[in-house]
Amino acid sequence: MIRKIFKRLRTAALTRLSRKKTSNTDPLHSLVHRYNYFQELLYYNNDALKLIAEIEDKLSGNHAFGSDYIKLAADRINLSAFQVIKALNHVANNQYAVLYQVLDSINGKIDREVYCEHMPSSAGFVVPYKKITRSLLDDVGGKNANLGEIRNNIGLLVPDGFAITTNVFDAFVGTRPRDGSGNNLYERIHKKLSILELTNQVNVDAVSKEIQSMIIDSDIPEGLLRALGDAYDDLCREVKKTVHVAMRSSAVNEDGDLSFAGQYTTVLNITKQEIPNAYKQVIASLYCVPAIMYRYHKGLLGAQIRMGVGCIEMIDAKTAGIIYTLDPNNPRSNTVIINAVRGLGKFAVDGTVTPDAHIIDRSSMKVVKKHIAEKNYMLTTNPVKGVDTVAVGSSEKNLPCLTDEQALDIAKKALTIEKHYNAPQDIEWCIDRQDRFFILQSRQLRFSPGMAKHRKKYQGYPVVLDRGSIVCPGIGSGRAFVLMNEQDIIHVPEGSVLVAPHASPALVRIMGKVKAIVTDTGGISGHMASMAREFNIPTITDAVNSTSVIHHGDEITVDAGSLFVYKGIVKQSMEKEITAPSFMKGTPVYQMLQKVAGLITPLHLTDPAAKDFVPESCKTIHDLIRYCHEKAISSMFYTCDNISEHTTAIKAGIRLPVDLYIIDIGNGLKDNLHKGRAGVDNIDSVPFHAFMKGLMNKNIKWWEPRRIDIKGFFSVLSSHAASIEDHTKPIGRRTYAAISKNYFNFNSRVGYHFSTIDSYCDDIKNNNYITFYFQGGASEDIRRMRRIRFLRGVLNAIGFVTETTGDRVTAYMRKYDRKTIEEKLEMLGKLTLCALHLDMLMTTDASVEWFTKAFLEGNYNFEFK
Amino acid sequence: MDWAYIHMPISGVLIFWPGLVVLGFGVGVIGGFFGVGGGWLVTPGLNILGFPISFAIGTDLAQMSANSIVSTMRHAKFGNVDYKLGTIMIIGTLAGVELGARLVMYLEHLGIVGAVIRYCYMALLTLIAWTVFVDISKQKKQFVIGGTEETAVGIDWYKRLHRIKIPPMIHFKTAGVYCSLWLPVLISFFIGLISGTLGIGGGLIVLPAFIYLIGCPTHVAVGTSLYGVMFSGLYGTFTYTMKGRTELAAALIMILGAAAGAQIGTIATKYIKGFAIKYAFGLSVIGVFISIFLKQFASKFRSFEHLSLNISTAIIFGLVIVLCTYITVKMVQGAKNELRAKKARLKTDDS
Repeated sequence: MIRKIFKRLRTAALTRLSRKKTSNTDPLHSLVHRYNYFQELLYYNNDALKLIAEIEDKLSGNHAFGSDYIKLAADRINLSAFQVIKALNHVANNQYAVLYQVLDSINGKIDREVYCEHMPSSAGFVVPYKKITRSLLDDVGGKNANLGEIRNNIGLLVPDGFAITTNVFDAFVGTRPRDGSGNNLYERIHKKLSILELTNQVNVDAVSKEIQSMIIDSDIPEGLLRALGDAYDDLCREVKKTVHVAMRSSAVNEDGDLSFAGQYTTVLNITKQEIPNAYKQVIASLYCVPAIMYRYHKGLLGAQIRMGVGCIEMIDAKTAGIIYTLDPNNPRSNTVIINAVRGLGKFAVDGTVTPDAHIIDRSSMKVVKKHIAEKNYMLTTNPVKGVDTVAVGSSEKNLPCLTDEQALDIAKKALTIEKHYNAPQDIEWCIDRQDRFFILQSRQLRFSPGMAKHRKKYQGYPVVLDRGSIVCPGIGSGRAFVLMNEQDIIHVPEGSVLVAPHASPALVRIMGKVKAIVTDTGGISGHMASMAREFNIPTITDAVNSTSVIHHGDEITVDAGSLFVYKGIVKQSMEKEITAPSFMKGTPVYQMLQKVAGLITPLHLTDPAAKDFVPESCKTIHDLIRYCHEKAISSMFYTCDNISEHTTAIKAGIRLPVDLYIIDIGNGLKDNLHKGRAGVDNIDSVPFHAFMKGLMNKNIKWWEPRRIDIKGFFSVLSSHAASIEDHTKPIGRRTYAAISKNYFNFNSRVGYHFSTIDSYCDDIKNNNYITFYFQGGASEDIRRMRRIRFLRGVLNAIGFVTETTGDRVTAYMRKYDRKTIEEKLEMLGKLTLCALHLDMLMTTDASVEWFTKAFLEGNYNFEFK
Repeated sequence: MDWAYIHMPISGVLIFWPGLVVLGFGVGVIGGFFGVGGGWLVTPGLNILGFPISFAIGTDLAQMSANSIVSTMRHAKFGNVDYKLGTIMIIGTLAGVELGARLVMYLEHLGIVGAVIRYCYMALLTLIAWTVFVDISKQKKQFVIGGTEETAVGIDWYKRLHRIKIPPMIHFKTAGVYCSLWLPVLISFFIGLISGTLGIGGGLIVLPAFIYLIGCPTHVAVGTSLYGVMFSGLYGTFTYTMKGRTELAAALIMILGAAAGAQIGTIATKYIKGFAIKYAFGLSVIGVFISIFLKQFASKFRSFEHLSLNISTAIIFGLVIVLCTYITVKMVQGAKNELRAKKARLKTDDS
């Protein structure tokens, strides 16, 4: 009776006084709730990081985009950031509501850039090529802008013509409901799109066809027709004859790739009367099946799309073809490839005819190889049919289409374009009956992903590394500083080349000092990558083994753009690289992106331990999501603190030196428990399974008689005598593991110390992390601290970043791939067992080193040889 | 002041009963607060209140076993007791307690029990005070990790770290460990002996011993040691009662005080941290030492007998009252601050 009363009194007092809110409901519910939001946070965090990387990529200025892209990107990142903040507030009990205001204020600034400085569309309906440069990209589309740039700023010959601007598209189809010419095209198209079933090929074909015929059957408004007719008449006056024209797509935004890849319709050799119809055909091809599927996969199905169209004089080509200013399959060969066929170039593009190939060495400018093919057919213009396939005379079909002199001349011209855009090009060209050389289109050459775009190798220097991912191209050289422990970061000298195992945001501290960065892992979309691009530091990530092949203190040269690291300082690399302005730079759209990106991509909050790591310091969206990610992880670290004996937990039926209870917060356990106990086979959590694998390692025989040090034992007794009991975490209480498919939090008082492990592990590198905390022990301070030094030694050696204060150590690692995280967790499992009661045995300082070494050598039972 | 004295039926002495309540309460607070229980306080306290030393030991054991029954039942419920280890421990403990009790009776027969036990206590208290102050001074120095202290070159430092593998080896199923039978037997015998002679529980020694020497998982060690200590307490009570040396009325009064004190001590740990409380603890140990010292030497200096007895009583109870008041006041302050902070937080949540 007395016992009952006291028990009740005590529970009442503890509940009232304790900070934790305990309710009558099962705390499991709130755990699951928090965890679900944590997962959501990781998802949107990734989404936002990808967008940031994409925007930074656009800032390189080599890809075409329009103002629509900027609006869309700003909206998407706003949404992601909002979701991240929402998720954080669910995880952390609304502690961070202030972040909504911060996001609002950043967004207000972005909106001001995007909407108030709306670009005046002064371009009208048509623009002749002689007035087009890249600054008109948003109005005329990528292909038109490109041709205009080549004609007016590079000075090469392109066919005469005019661009039909996106204003015509707006007036005809529209980009909003009730836009357009009263034909309701926009609404009708989107109604059709809404019934799209992407898994049903028949349905996709039908929808595509219906939308296309809808466009083709609509009438172009009278005013537009007149504008097109007038533009054609002006063109004829300019060239002083009645010309036939070709109609080609010239898309804005992301669709630019499709446009170049020939997915959109091109109509060749037509007369004035056919122009409106051809225009509709080209526009309609925006809804061809590949384009629909492409936009779906990019998540742009509902997005605004617009298209410009080029109307250019049809050149009656004698010879035509393609130039690659660098071999896309073998960039190291340093050659220009010219393909040529007789007649129009279409047959070279689509492969109907095997073209002649002239291969020219870029440095000596000599034809090094020639392949003359048999060309049986050619495509010619035909006044009636438009174009016509004609057999090539037998005397001509084996003759080369180009002389060597012509080939060299063409190569030189192609290289001037490359130089202008500062990137290898893929160019369509033709030569007319008067032997005039025309450029028909030019775009940046695409290589297989991850490969260096332009690998140039400097001779005479040993290559120490030739792989990885390019984060920021450029060349930098200096003495290598191999940073194995992040705490040494303060020692990195000015002008060195940093080599680190991992792309950690902490590296930003020395970005102003180093010449280049190479890391073993990290990817191209992480925080560090983003910072490196911002600082414009040549950076290679994912180099796998840079920290072992590059020796600390060696002089090295990093050519990030070519993915080569050389031993020694490469003298040639000091020569100035070509720095011509890239395609987009300087255009109004680009300037707008720059302003918007300034509010999105820069990262100021790099050090979570710094005083200014607070919501008020978040100046950009990147700051915001970084802050949220950090706070969410530290909040999840305390997951198990909310667990009480009322939480639904399953006792583990596994032989362990701890009283383990498992709490399933999301598909962490498989069914069919044995007698209500969870065995190893029931665990379906990726990280927890890895940790248990270490904890159950058969070689660690914790059940055997332990080593004993009598002096150590007396130190345990004496420290124990003067200690203050902690009744909130009494000795011998249960150990809890809250687990889900990809997450676990292990909170234990094993022996006399506390330890917590918190980890997330899935296939997305950016999500993964481990946090490890260890504190206390029963023996005297000096022995406890020796154990902490032992732990720190082991943790550093296996790749953790550690912080120690007094008798506690915190260790963490972030953003490693799944396999690495699993390996490290297994090590932590072993370490948890081996560190048990080890403080008693830490008799001297020498023992710290000895035990560290023994553990790393796999001598887990600490046998003396 | 007659109302404050009650007649103890078995020992036949008049006892100041509020002293018993204060002592019980003090044991509760201190036992709940510090890792070490309050046993070191009770036997000297009872002796100073007027109980002959053998009665003090017997009564101490009686009130201690009552407390441990409660704790053991709580732990046994969770299946955290290794009954094999527990049984071995009981056998060792019983032998130790019985030997200790007989030793006390023999000393009583010789007429020197008071002096011997008091000397033992002086030694014990010196040891406790010493460890406490060493601990404080070490913490104050604040070892910097990697700081320099004597780096024993340590060619052979690990030779001293043995595994004890004297047969027969026994497998403890609940604990999951293998161990030499002699280890738990010796540990429990030693603890039993201490209990039987000094009247303290030995929980302080048995828990670290199970964990560090046997390698027993913590939760099983806690359950099993409570189980063992309960039996040694019960048997001690039994054997002292049989020998007519337990004052059950006094034990009952103390249990009431202790139960109340334990609540405060337990909660107070949440609010009181740092050196001050450790100093207080160490000083009170020294105070008890002085009390016993005065009690022991009062008989030698006849002229001072009355005075020194009064001083020793005043010191021991003064210390208990001061320490308990300090802990209680600190706890109330801490709780108040917390409630205030909570209210403030609620207010900001509302707005």
